[in-house]
Amino acid sequence: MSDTSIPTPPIVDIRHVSKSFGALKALNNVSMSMSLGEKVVIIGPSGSGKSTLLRSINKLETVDSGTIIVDGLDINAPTTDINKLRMELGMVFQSFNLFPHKTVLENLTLAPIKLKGMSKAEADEVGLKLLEKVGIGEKAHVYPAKLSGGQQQRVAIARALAMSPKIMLFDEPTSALDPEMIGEVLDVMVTLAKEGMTMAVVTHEMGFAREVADRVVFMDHGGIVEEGTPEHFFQSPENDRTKLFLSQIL
Amino acid sequence: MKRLFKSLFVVTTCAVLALAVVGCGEKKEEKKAEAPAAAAPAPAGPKTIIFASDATYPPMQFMNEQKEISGFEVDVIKAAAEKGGFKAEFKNVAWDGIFAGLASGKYDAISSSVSITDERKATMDFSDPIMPIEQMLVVGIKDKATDLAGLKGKSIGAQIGTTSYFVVKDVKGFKAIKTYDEVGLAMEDLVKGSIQGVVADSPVAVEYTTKKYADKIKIVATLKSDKVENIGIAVKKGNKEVLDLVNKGLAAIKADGTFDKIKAAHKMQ
Amino acid sequence: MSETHIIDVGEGAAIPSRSDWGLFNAWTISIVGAVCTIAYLILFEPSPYKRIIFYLADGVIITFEVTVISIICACIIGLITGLGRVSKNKAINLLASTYVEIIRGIPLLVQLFYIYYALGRLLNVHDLTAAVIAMSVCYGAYMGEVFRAGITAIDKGQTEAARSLGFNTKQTMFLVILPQAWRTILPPVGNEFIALLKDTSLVSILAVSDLLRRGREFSSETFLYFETFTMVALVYLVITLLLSKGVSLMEARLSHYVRH
Repeated sequence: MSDTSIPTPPIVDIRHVSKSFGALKALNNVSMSMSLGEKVVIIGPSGSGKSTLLRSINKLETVDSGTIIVDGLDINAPTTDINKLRMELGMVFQSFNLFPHKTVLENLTLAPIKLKGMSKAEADEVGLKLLEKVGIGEKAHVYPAKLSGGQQQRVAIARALAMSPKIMLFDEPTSALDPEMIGEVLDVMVTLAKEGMTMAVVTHEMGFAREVADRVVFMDHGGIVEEGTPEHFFQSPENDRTKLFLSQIL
Repeated sequence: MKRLFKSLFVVTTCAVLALAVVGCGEKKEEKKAEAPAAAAPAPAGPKTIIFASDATYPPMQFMNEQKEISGFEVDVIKAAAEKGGFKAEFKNVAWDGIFAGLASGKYDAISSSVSITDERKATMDFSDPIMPIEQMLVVGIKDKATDLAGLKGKSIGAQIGTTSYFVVKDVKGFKAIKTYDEVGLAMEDLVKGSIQGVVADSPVAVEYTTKKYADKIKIVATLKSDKVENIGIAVKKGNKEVLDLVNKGLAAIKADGTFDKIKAAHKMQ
Repeated sequence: MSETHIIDVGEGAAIPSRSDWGLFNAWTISIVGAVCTIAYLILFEPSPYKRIIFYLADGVIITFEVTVISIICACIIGLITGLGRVSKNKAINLLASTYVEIIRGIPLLVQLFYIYYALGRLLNVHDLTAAVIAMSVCYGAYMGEVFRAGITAIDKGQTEAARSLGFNTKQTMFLVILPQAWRTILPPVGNEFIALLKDTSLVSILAVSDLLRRGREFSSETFLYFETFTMVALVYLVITLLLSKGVSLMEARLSHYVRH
C-alpha cells in the first residue's frame, strides 16, 4: 500500500474538538482529518483520549466544542440525521457487542432488513458472503455465545460491513482477545484495508500499524502529540513523549 | 433466581403441611379448653360476660364518635346486665367469622342482631328472643320496583352470612346476588348504582332510608315469611351459666318497662 | 471466554442440573399432594367437600379471570412505566417515577377501596372492572421497577452497537434491548404474577364473588370453616403451582441462547 496517495477532500474532518468527563479533559482542542481510502491508526497510552476521539466521529460521544464533519455533514447540526449518517460508519468494539439473542447470521441481517428495507433473502445472501469472507460461514446459524472471542469479533466486523459503510471505525478490536486469536482478527482487517476501505483504528498492535497504516497518530493527555507515516513514526519520531511510549511498547 | 424459586416451593410445601397439622391439632385443643372454662369457680364479684358485636350495624350496634360500641341492642344488654347481675363487656368483631370465634371460645356471647334460626340452633344456643324483626327490600329512590320480582335481571346485595342473604340466595332470576362484609357497603353500592336492591333487617333498613341516605334510597317491601324472625343473644352450645344470666336480665327489663323505655329512646317501632 | 466454557446442546434440549431437579421435586410433591388431597376429600368425603367444591367453582373462574386480565394489563403498564423510568426525557421520567412512588406507598387494600368506593362515586365502575383496574395499577408500578431493572441490566455495549449501526432509540429498545431484557425480567415478573394471583383474594372485599368470597359465603352459612378453608387453600395452591410452572417453562424457553 502506498502512503503517498492521499486523495481529497477529507471524508472526516475534526476541527478543534474538546470534551471533558467531569474534571477530566479527555480531548483538548484536537484537529484531525481523514481522506477517502485512508487508513489511520491511532495509538497512545490508556486514558490518552484516543477512544473518545474515535467514538466522537459517530457521535457515541458528544463533544463539548468544535465541529466534526463526516461526508460533508456536521454531525452535531440539528438538521443532520445522525441515524442515517451512522449507517455509513461501521463500528467495531473492544467487547464485540454482538446481539446474544440473535444467531450469527441474524446479527448481520438485522440492520440491513430493518434500516435499508432489504428483503430477508437478499440480506441472508449478503450476510453469508460476508461470513465466508471473515472465515466463519459454517457458524451462520449458531448463537454468538457458542463462538470464541476471535470468531465473535470477526462476526462483529462482518456485521458492520453488512451495512456497506464508507468508513470503518475500530476501537481496540483485539484488546479483549486471547493472544492466539488476535491474528485471525488482524488478518480480516488487513484484507479489508487492502480492498481500499477507509479505516480509523485505535490499537496497540504496532505490527498492524506498520503494515497497514497510511498515517499513524500518537495521542497523549487528550491531544495529538505527533503524526506521520509509519516509517517516520517508528524510525525517527521527533517528540520525546512518542519516543518514551514507543520504547515502552516495542 | 432458580434457587429462590426452589426455596419458595419448599417453604410452601412446609407451610401446607404445618397448616394441616395445626388444623387437626386445634380441634382437639378446643375440646380440652372447654372443660376448664366450664369448671372454673365463679369469681367473687359479678361475672363478666364478653359480648362480640359487629359494630357496623346501625342502629343496633355501631361505633360512636367516642369509639365506643353503642346502639339499641347494646343499651338493652347493658340494662339487662344491671338487672341480671353480670358485667357486660363488648368486643368489636367482624360479622364474617363471628360465629367461629364463639365456637373457639374467644368470647362468651354474641350480641349482634343475630336472628334465631334452626340452622344456627344446631351449632349454638340462643337466649329468649329480644324482639322480632323483618326482612326489608331497599331500592333506589326513583326505582319503580315494589318487590323482589320487580328486580328480575338486576343485581341485588345483602350482608354475608345473614338471614337477609339467606332469604334471597335461592331466588332465581337476578343478574347477581352479591354478599358484602358490612351492610353499609351494600347500601353504598346501592346509592352508587352498582346494585339495584339491598335486603336488610328492618331496623337497619329504616336507619339507612331515614337518616344517612334518606333522599337516595327507600324501603319498598317487607319480605313475607311464614315464620316470625326473632333476634337474640347467641352463646356457645351448652354454656348454660351465661345463658341463664342473660335470660334473667332480659326478663327483668321486659317486666319492669326498662326495655320499652330503651325502645322509645331509640325511636324503635 | 474460552472454548471450554461452551456447552453444546441440541435444539431446545434442557440440561437438568441438580438444582432443576430439586425444583421439579418440590413442585411435584406440592402439586401431587394438593391434587390428591382434593380428590380424596371429594371422593371419600363428598359431604361436605363435594358441596364445597361445587360452591367454589364459579369463584375459581372469577379469580382466574381477574388474575389473567390483571397480569396482562399490569405487564403493559409495567412496560410503559419501565420505559418511562429509563427515558432521557425528564418529564416522562418524572411522571413514571411519581406514579411508582405513589402506588408503592399505598397498600393494595386501600387502593382497592379507593378506586371502588371513592372513584366509583364519579365513574361507577363495575366491581370486576374496579378490581382489575386496582390490581393492574398497583402491580403495573411493581412491574415497572422490574422492567427498569431488567433494561438497565443489559450491557451498555448493546445499545452502542445498535446505535452505531444506525438504529434509533426506539428500534434499539424494541429490537435489541427488550428481547434480551425479557430473560432477566421473567423470573422476578413470574414472582409478581404469583403475588398478584394471591393478592386477588383481596378483591373479595369489593364483594367480587371470587374464590375467597365464595368460601366465606359458604362457611358463614354452614359454619364449616375448617373444611371450607382447607378446600379454598388447596385450590389456591393448585392454581399458584400451575402458574409458577408456566413461568418456569417460559424461562427455560427464553434461556436457549446464553449458556455460560
